Amino acid sequence: MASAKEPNLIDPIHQFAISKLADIKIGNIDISFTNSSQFMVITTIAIMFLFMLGLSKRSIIPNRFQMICELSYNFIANLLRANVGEQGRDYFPFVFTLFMFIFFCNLIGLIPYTFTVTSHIIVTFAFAGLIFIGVTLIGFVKNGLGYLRMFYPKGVPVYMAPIIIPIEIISYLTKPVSLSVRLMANMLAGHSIIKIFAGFIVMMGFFGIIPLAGLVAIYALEVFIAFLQAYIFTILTCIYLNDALHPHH
Amino acid sequence: MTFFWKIVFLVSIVLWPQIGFTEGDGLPQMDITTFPSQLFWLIITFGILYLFMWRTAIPKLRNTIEERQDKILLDINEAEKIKSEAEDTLREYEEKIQSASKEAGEIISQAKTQADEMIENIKKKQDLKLSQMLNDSKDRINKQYEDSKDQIENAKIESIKLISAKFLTESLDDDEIRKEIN
Repeated sequence: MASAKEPNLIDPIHQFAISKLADIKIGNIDISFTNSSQFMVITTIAIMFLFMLGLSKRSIIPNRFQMICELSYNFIANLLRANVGEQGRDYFPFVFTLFMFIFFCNLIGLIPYTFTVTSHIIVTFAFAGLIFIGVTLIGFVKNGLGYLRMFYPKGVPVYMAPIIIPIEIISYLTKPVSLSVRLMANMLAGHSIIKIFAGFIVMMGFFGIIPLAGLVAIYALEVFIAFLQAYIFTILTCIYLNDALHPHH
Repeated sequence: MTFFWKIVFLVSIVLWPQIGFTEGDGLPQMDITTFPSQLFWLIITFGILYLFMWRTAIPKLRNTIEERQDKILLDINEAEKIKSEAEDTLREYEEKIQSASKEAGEIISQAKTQADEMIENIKKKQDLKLSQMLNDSKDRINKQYEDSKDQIENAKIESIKLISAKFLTESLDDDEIRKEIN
């Protein structure tokens, strides 16, 4: 670690390092409980706690926690209905869990000295890959081989096919990559900038008030981005799902 | 505000060499050895959360929201029923008022005609009385006039008789005098 060598240096990447908390191995595979796992568990417990609190005393006139639960429910339900339609109902639990998990990971990651689960490419790629495989399977199950028509849109002249079909296939295959990298890169960049500005505050002493003001502004932006990226991830999932369910649009 | 951001940018440029990236290890994100652990725990935590949402949270939420919507619909229906009832009552009330006012008008007009009749009767009676009285007094006056006329004539005759008695030797007859006067 550079910060260990020269303690004055700011190391914005150090916050993403994974450290083992408990060694666990199954065969040769290392599945140790790390700080990443720790914050996955914290996120899950936080969401479950919120929903248990909100759903413990269900009433016609909701209290604050019930209001949060119902607002998030209606938010995702409307998103799914607008983008997929009524057939999207079956996939609502997954989309809802996905949104809540990513949103809470992003938000909890903004608390100082915490770890952002979604800043690791493997986590976001796991989600994106799951969505990609799921959406492709749904597409083939619902439409049969007609799903392949998607790579050759209607109304395209035959002589354009050699160009259009590879482009469509490439754009289809890059979906999970862009989906996962977008979320991970946003988290990585945002947290790095926060760390760098925080380091400037310490370095500049009294004049640290200038980067402090910048930090406050960037922090507010990051809270917004935490929501926005979860929202984008969810809405893109809905759009891919819609493509699989209604490929001829 | 742009000035502020310029200063922030300048500070960043000046302090840039102070940023030390982790050397040798590269990005922690690219450390493949951590992948199995992350995937394993992600599947476990996300799986638990998914089961919780799918089995517990979402059905409860859906029930609550549907119950509320049902309650709202019921309340709206009830409110509409009450509203229509109130409108019926209002219509009845207005009809009653209308019929009552009509009745009152009839009663008033009846009373008016009755009063007119009575007035007419009284007037007639009075006229009759008056004309009778008038005739009576006329008769009386005529009678008195006649009477006084006779008396005057008699007095005239008497006085002429007296005067003539003084001047004439022969007394005059009453009938002759009357002839002479008239």
